[in-house]
Amino acid sequence: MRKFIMLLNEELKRGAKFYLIALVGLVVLEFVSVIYEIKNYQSNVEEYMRVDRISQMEAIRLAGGPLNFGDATSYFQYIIAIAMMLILLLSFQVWYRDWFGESKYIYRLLMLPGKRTAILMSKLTAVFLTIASFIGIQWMVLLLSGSLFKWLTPEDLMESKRVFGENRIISMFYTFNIADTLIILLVSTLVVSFVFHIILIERSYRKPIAIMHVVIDVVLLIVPLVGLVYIFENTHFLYPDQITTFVIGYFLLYFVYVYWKSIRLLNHKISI
Amino acid sequence: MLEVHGLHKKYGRKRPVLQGVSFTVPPNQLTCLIGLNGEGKSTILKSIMGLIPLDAGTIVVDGEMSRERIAFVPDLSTMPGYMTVGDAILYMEDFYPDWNQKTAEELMAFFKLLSTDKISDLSKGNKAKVNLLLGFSLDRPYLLLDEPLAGIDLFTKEQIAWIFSSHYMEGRGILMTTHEIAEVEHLIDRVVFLQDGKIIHEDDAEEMRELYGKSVQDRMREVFQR
Repeated sequence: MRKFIMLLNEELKRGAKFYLIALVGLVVLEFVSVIYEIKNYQSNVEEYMRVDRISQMEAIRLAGGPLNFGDATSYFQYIIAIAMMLILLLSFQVWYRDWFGESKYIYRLLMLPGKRTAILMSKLTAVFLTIASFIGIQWMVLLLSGSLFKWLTPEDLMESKRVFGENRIISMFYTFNIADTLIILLVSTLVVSFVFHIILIERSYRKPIAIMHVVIDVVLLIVPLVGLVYIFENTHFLYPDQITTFVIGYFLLYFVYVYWKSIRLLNHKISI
Repeated sequence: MLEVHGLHKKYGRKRPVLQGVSFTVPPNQLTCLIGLNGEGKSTILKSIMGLIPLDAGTIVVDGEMSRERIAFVPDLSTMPGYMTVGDAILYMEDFYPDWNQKTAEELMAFFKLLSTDKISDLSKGNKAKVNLLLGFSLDRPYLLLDEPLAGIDLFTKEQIAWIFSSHYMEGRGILMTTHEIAEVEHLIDRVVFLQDGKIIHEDDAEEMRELYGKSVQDRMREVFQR
């Protein structure tokens, strides 16, 4: 446990610069996008009124109706997609910097006394904490953006009834339902574990054998899952809720398999 | 005694790098593993440390199959560049129960390293010194050194050579790979010649000098030019 905590501390220190730059960049981008959307909408309405010589109500109708919070934060989904890409990049970086960085830190990591499990767990936890903090900060940005939206948008241009409009991703984040959050974290951890698994395979085997391992593991994930869900749905063998439980159970089982195999690779196959 | 038995290693479809390599590293002696470039000297050291998986072979240290009695000094920097020398020492102290802080402080003073020196800013010679400091400060009976004298200036080489004849070596069995044999000729106790992935000679250095009337370097030249 002590080794894990010390390694986690090291991982967090190493990733601090990347994390801060990404975080500040994304937050600034989100606030700028809200301001841009509001100002752009206002100028559109004013333009319609000036050019077409129509009333403000007519201009609002032409602009697609009053502005709701969902419209004002419509760029957020792209920024969230960028954040997801950055997390994916971080998942690769936390391993490959140890091999291809300025120093070969992987030598030190693999030579540390005790079990190598702590290496995998510390890297996984570091990425997990980054994801969790990104979600938390996203929630705070949304709350602050709500205030910014109310402050910057003139009341007669603002729609207060349909807060999020069609923007379901934002509404999911904004409501901050604990079950949704847990599912996001679980799926993210699974994806990151799988990326780690692929990296460890790549670092353990020659290319053709590594590709074969990855293909087998992808098939193990997809084929039984899709096949069984298809059979359950068509034979009505399980209720929809039971199918969801089955899918979650299968994902958890697969996570255990990926974790077990990653540890095995780290202990017996990995090569510097 | 560090015993290496029947090491086999093959990278993909290439010819095997190691083909049943066996030798011993006795305590209190400096054993030099000699071979031309690409003969698998570094592979042997890395395999002993579990950094490269072996196809076959065993490593036995004083009767046990444990690596926790061996320290390894690789030929490259293993600490993140953002760390200072002081951070690296603290890191080692945190992780290794057999870390000797007194030795670390003495060697830092001997090598004229400052705890505030950032590792990424150090010269190649100073990085080699940090590596040696980190390796020698572990209270372990066996030490593996991979090309500790490569690419560094004369004065640094002399400092490192002094370490090999100092009290820091007492009680330790050292296995070293180097091409700079002349620099450490007088310190070598045993030589192991590696060619085509096999051990072709394993001799006591003194006996070899007497038997052939040649230095280790000349004997190496003779063996590899055959």
